[in-house]
Amino acid sequence: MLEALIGFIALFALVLLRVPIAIAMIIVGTAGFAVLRNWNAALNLLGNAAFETGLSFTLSVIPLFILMGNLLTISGVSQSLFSTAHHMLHRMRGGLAMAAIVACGGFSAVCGSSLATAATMSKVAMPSMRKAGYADSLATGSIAAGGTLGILIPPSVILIIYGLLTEADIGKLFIAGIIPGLLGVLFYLAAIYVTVRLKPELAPEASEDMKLEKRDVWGVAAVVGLFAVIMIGIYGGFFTPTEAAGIGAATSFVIALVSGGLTFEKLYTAAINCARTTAMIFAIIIGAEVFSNFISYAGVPDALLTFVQSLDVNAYVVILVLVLIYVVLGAVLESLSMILLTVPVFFPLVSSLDFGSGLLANPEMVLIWFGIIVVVVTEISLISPPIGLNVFVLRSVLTDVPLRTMFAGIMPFWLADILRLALLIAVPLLSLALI
Amino acid sequence: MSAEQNGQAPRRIDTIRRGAGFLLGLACLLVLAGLIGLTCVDVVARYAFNSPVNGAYELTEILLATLIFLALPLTTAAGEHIEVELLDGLKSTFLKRFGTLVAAVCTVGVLALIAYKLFEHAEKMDRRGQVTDSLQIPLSLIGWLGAASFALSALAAIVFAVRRFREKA
Repeated sequence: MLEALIGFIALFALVLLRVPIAIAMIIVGTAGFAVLRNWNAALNLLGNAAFETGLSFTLSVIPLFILMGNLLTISGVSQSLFSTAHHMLHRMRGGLAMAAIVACGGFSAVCGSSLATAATMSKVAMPSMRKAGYADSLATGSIAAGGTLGILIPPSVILIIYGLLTEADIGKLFIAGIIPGLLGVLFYLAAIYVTVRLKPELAPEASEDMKLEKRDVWGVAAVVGLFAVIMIGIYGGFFTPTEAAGIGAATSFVIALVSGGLTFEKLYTAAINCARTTAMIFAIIIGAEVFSNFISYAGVPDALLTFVQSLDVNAYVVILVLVLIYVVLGAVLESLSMILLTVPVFFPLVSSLDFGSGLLANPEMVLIWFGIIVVVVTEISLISPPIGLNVFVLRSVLTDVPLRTMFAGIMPFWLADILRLALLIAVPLLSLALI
Repeated sequence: MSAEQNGQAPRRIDTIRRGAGFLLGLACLLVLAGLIGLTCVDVVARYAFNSPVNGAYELTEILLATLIFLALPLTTAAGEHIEVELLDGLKSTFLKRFGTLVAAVCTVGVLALIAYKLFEHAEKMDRRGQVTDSLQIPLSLIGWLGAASFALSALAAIVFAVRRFREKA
């Protein structure tokens, strides 16, 4: 146990010195395992992890879904989603910000990444909001918050990785994300509604209607159709998530082609960005594997399990404590590494919790429900200071808005997220109803 | 030192670097296209002709590993490995430079070490003649590709670290 503690401290020290998180996890994991056993075994384990991780069938969904999102960004459906949402909401005060939320939700249905959703929508929604006289805080806040929906509304890279770590069914995890994702949209809309009621100066009364063009209708239809094919395909067992991702990527290639915006250069950029992101994710997975091997060998998950069982507390109390840990960790750790580091330690404990009879009597259901909760907590960490990554993505696109303004604009959405999190914990049915 | 003083050599290195980057990117594009094509053909073949592609599962895994190994040097060269930038707020340039140095040494060292371990692993698989189950593809090929990838990534990490030091200076 002492070794594990030293390991965690060393990991944080390296990460603070700007060592890439993947590399830091590999160093501490390998060295830690070597101390507990020997160097030969530790180094062989590292070599195996580097070799085997890439050869994983389940993980092939990751580049395919990323490419799908990249291709759809080229096709301009994000603009169509925004225009259509605005057409419906322009009579409301704050309608453009609400349209940004709805469009983010729509784009999340075909994109598995929060950062990509936020980056894409900022280019589409920000110019309109500025032109209409929206306060920067409200405008950036709504895009940063709306972007977080990317990892909850399926497809979702984070849910895929959670499924990989816990062996929970990825298709079921995707389906479980739908209602909480829609709730997220509703809560964010409510947050905007309340904010502009309290501070009307943040947004103009109503904004000019944008003319809806034929291509916008087609764009929305394409997104809805693609999402339907993917979810019905997985839900009905017609194809595996990997096949759904392959078909989705192929379809989005056709959509981008038909939209007329696809050049070889753009295709090349989309593919290379997808490949680079995939390699980045895999480096972290390799690191997490090596690190969690060390942590397991040091006996942390077992010790945690025994400790919590000896406390004999209510299962919901345990979940609440875990959520608190995530909120704190989320403020200082990057989201993907946070999940890869914590889930292997926590999930044996979570699946052993006794929730009595009912929905959560089945450990599989508990794991799926917990997965959704972990993702929602991760969404919160993406917009929490000091290192909320979504805010930093926006900041890199909109260099003239100070970070302070962005984090101030986030506040209503952050509160909405906390409320949604509480609701999802209290009512597991919201996550599990569709399964 | 100005560009003229440096002469032709750095420019040639730049050309090689850019050319290698482009080729790796192109290879990634082809592998991705293959991955998409394979899954689509497999689904169609299964439903329309009731005969799934032989070894599709295995081929998907191999294509994925190939994609990652091709892309890793590009990720590293672009400095896209996730890091936490809490030190950026610090005033002390010494601490920042110290951090950059530690990060560079760690990254290059780990990547080179993995390259070596993968090379060893590939040699072993080659000696044993290990092949995949249904398509009989030698596993050592993937091992060597991985070793080359991590070695190239270690080089890319050096280049990236040098560039970062220059920017800070």
